[in-house]
Amino acid sequence: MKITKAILIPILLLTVVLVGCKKDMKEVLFEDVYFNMNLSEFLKNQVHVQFVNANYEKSSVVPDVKITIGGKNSDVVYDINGTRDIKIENQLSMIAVSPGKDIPASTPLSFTLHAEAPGFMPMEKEITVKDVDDYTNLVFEMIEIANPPVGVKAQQVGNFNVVNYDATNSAILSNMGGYIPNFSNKAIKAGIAVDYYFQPISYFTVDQQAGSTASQPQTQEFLLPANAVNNTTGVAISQNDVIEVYRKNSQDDTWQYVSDVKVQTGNASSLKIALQLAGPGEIALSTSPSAISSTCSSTLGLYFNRPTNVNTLHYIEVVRNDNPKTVLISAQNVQIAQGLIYDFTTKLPSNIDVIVNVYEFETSSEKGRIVATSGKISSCKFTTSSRLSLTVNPPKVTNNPVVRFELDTYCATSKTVYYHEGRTQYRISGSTGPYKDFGLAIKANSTRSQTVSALPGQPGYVNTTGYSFLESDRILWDWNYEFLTIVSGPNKKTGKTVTKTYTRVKKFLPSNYTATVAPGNTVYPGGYFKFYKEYWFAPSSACSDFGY
Amino acid sequence: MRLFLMVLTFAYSSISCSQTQKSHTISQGIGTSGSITTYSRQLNSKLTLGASFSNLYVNPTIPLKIAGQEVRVSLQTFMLQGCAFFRFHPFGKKDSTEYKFNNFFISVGYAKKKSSFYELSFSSRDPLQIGQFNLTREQTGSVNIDVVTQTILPFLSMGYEKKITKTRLSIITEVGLYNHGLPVIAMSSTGVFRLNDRNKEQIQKNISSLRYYPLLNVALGYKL
Repeated sequence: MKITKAILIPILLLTVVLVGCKKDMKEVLFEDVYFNMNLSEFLKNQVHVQFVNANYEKSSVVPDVKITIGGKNSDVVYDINGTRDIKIENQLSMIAVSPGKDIPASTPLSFTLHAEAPGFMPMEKEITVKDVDDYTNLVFEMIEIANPPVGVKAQQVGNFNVVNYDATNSAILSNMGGYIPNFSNKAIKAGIAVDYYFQPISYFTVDQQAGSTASQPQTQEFLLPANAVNNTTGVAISQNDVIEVYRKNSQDDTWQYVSDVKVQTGNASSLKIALQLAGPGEIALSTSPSAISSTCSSTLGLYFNRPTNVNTLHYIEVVRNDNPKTVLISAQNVQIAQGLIYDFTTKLPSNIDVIVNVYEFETSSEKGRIVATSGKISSCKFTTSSRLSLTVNPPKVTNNPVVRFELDTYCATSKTVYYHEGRTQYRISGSTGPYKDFGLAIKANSTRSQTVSALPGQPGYVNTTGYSFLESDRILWDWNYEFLTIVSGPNKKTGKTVTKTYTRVKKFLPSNYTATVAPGNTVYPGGYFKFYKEYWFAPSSACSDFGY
Repeated sequence: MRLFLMVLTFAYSSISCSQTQKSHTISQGIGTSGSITTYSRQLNSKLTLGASFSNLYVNPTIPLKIAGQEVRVSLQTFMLQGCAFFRFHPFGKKDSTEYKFNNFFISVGYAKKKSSFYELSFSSRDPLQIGQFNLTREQTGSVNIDVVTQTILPFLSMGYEKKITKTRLSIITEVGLYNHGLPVIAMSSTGVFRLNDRNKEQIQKNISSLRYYPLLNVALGYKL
């Protein structure tokens, strides 16, 4: 018995010590340690798509949008919550591309997004996501058949539904990639590539009416866009000019030359052509070159100077110097901040002078005013290895203030501070138009959240080491704005990923800023107004949504 | 210097062994250093010299919740060490083997560890699920914490040897502490845990007071 005790007691003691140590180790090691999971690392490349009525100034939202993902890399496209079925909430869908796997720098991924809604024309866009594209914001401007925007005209010709797009309207042109599936600028005439002058003034989509039988070819007169010019000569189109008709070949996504048509006079100051419709498909009308033209050997590259921390999206046009209404190439959603670059993908015609204009906002349909311009430059002078330098300084142009918000959200229950990152959006309160880019929120360091011993205003409060900030030059004093923020991350309590969209209406008041940085600062020539967290766009309920 | 002392202790122990007729004991046991094999040589009623060899491989897991997800914290250590020691028998009396405090002892010595690492790592217990995304092990990633200590550990312990009547066997128990110095943290993290390196400073602060490792052994001895 004594022997048994002599063995059992030490073994029991050993067990207690080992088990106790194991438990204590956890408590000692991890006291005041807050491990977290960095979801943004997994959902690194996100695409946020807004669906708005192209004629939003006069119409309502797009109801019941249904979207389909297709194309080359559709297998790596997910809803942000991990399903293949991309959800749309509040006209917004959030897509995660290649979650958990880095996109190779040399191999961007692409997929098509096809959107349909009752009473609206379907729209399809190819979306390309590069490794550096953390947050891509896109606007699908969908055309309501009964209420199309300026530049789009729907009509019935026999058993065909025909929609005529004015390609001289920059808002329409920049969205053509969405209206015509697999849109391209490749054109072929008699087996020879004629991309160098293929810049249509009109596009048509022709569909067989539902339930109708195939029609015989029909000839119909269509009005040409007012003030259309020959893009290679810059001369206004007039009677008897030749217009080349191209039809899209869906096999190789090229535009194939079909025939020439002559311009006729219509009523009053309008010009028209007679076009034969042979069946469903897409048609383009291009002006004909009067002289042999060629393109530059390289595409145009831009380098941006921006003497602030503002990082916003902009629309850019390259227009003819001798006819500034002729848009040769354009780009939407171009990110502009100090030191960033942008390279166009389409080459300019050679031997002409052009002007590069940077607009205030990011879409062609609501581009705002010109905030930077190159002046007259030779079309081939600047390339992707010798870029055109543009200084973009909207406050100097718009007189809008530069405002800086510190986006620290304090969660009272858990005493956690959360730092926001990513793009934020806004619009004037009461508007049904698309949200515009407000700027990029940036974390000051890698810390996403911190726990504090006391909240601001409480005894013992100490300034946190991390913070995030957002600078913008897009809002005006005394206006009411609706800010939109998307926060995605795991709920601390349930572990489930939650993606929440928050909107908050705030009046932008001069009395709300807490400090100014004096004008004359080398980084901010005009100075800036510094705001604190009362301007944070997410409501206080965001804390409980994420379990904090 | 400490290494020199250890060598000296071993040498002295061997010399004593060959020059006296006192008892030799070998024992086999388990404890906080793992499986331990010990040889000891009692020089007189007050002093015993000895050496031991032990090895321990443990890999226990502790559950931990991070952002609502249960993760597995794995503590891993491989301890291969040799020890040299003196045992003092403060109550030892000559020719009075029946005296019950005879075999109480206080032990001092040095241990030499082959490795200076205790490794902690944690990752999700099961493949992590974020929303409907099922992450692979690689995407989930892990946090690895190496606790680096010194490899020569002085120790102090006390114990008792209970003889089993009419046999050469005895039960030996020993309780004490190793001093492994100031532990230094090295950390790396991957996958969705990638940004947790920032906790290194706090863990270092937490662990700085843990300069001692418990010594607790139970062994069965055999008198040669």
